Amino acid sequence: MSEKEKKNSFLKKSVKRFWGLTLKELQVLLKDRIAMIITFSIPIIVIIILVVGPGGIEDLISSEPGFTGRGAPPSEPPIIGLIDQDQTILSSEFVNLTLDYEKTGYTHLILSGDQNELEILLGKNKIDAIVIIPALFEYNLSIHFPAILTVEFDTIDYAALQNTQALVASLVNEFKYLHKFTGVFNVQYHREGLPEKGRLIFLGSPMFFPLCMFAIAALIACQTIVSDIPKDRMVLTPTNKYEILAAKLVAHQALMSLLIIIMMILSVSFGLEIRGGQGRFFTYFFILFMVALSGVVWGLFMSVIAKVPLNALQFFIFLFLFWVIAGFFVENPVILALSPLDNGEKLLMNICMRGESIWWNMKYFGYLGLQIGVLYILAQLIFNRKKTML
Amino acid sequence: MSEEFKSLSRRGSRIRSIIQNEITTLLKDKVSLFILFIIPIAVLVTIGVGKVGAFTNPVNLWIIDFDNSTKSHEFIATMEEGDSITVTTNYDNPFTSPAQFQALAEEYLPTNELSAYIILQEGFEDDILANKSTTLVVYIDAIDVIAAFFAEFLIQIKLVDFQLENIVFESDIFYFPVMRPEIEYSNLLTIAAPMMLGLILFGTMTLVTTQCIVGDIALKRLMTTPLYTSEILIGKTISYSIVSLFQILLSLGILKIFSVPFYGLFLDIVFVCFLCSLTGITLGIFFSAISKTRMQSAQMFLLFFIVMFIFVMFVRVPYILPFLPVENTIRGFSNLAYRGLSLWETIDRILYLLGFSAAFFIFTLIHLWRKKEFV
Repeated sequence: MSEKEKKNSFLKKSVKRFWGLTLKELQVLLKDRIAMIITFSIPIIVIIILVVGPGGIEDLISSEPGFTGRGAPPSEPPIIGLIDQDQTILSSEFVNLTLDYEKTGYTHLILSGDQNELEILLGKNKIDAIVIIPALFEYNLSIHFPAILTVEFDTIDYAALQNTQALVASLVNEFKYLHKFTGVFNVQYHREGLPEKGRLIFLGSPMFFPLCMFAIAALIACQTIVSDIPKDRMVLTPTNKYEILAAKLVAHQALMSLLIIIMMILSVSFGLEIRGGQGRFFTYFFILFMVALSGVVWGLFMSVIAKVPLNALQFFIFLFLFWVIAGFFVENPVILALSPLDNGEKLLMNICMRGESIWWNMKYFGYLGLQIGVLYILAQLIFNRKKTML
Repeated sequence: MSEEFKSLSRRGSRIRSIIQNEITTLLKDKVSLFILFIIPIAVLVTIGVGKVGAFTNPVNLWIIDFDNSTKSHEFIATMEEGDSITVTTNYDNPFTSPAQFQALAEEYLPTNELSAYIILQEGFEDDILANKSTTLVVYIDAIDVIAAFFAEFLIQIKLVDFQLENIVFESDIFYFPVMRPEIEYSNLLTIAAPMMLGLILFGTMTLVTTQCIVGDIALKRLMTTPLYTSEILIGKTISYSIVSLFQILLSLGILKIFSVPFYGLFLDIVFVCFLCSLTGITLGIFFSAISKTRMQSAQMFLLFFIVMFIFVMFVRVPYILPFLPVENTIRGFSNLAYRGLSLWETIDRILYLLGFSAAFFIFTLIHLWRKKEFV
């Protein structure tokens, strides 16, 4: 047998072993049916929540700046304390308008004459804001001068703060609209870029889809080596550790690809608008594929460095919590460049939501690709050096 | 009476042994301990040294001036003041007409290059001087909700600035938001602490405990001894609670280093944090009890965590929120640490957390009683 033939035969055998290992790995993954059901139910439940879930950010985006209508009542109506220090016809009309907001479910109102009492309630988180109509409110407006309301917000409850700010803005704008107080600037705001339908899933998908894909991929993969006892016997066969790791990677990624396809079909059929050119669906798939691949590689890395399965899970929770929290609060570009969740979010947001070109966002693909490559090589090196039981 | 007392005493002794055994096992696993305590350190310190995100990105604003008058130039000058807004006008592109610049703005608005654009229509100056009022058309990119609100807020402030600088007023209603209480947000952690604590304490304890029954091989043999299921459950819950106390003290210590205010009693704050960990422990043990494999248990954790995270951060459904441990921890911690309230004044949150823990403890107990493999 010539040298070339030997080489070919070795390659053929290697490929055959690799496919055998991949299929075995897939079988092992699919064997735990309950775990698979939960895995596949995670994105489905997330999509359903984003499609049918009311409130939250939907309240924010439905409140138009300027007055073009009240929109839908918020799911958590803020509690407003109102003091009328002016006691004039115009100020009582403002109070009446606020009462109308209460009647229609936009707010809960506490009318009071005592500012101290309301401030105590604000401090105890019993109300969300205090609106004070000052003396000379009517007079200032009647001489074509601005009237200045005092509005105190509770800033600790940040979730309620956004709704409360939107409500006060809506109240003031409607009052101005009803009495034709246009001010110097009659500002006509136009909020652009949001689709007519499926706004919540449109806004939520760049954040939550990469989160789901990364978390599921990393969680499953983090157990794949540390819990795989038979792999130690594999060293007695011609199989080498390169083939084992590659097979695990391919099997996990195949499972994740199926999950991505299901997720895409579901979200598009539930009204998710994906923007971009003709290949937008493929781009969307590819972005999630890269995020999932990053999750798989992170999982493999954690699995090779863990000594027992519990360790691997703990590495996972550390990684998962760190990236989730970093995405919300960290602005350091170096840390964010390392975050698969942040890169995935930016890619989905910029390419598939904004319709930007892929070329403009190549750096995010680069960060993901580099991370995947480096982690895989590291995982392989550690795996090669790891002593087996036999 | 004496027999009952002896029986109780024996039960206490058995529970103490289980606690001792669980803690010894946990302490032996150095990696577990390292991870349990490194998570709060790494996450809290990273956020503690971070800047407040929303204010670090300037708003890219384009102004298309069709009027080209003194007042329109004054308007542009007001918008350009400060660092918060980066203004580009059609005068920065001398070969582009206002109409072409507007077409460019329409094209770029959905991208990251542009946050908003304002059109100053022809007659802008005449309207202000003659009628003291003019129409201003503002287009905002709403795809990034937070950035859109920030852009709108800055534009409104600049509009008021323009009126004050040029002494032009018309019947209008302004309000300048007063923020209460006046907490000095010296770093990002001051803002994020309630949520961080909730996520870290609940997340770590839940995931660690998801393996405590399903991964406990010796448990089946233990069930052939006179041990009661309830004793095992109590023993495991107490031992993980003890570990969580150290994690809580470490986390609160880091918060203190980063000047997070603790206006309430420190013990009260520790108590609320402990209840948060307890909800994680009882839920984790429940997942562990109903699972057949380690992976199932971990997947249940992931499902619960992601769904809870979406409800707390994004889709706030009022009738679901009270049943979510992280939401109650955020509110309970804020009430005690930031508002300086007493435990009694935040009793609703405490009861929710206690109820959650009790419910899952009972569910686990019932499940273990009915579990055939243990008999």
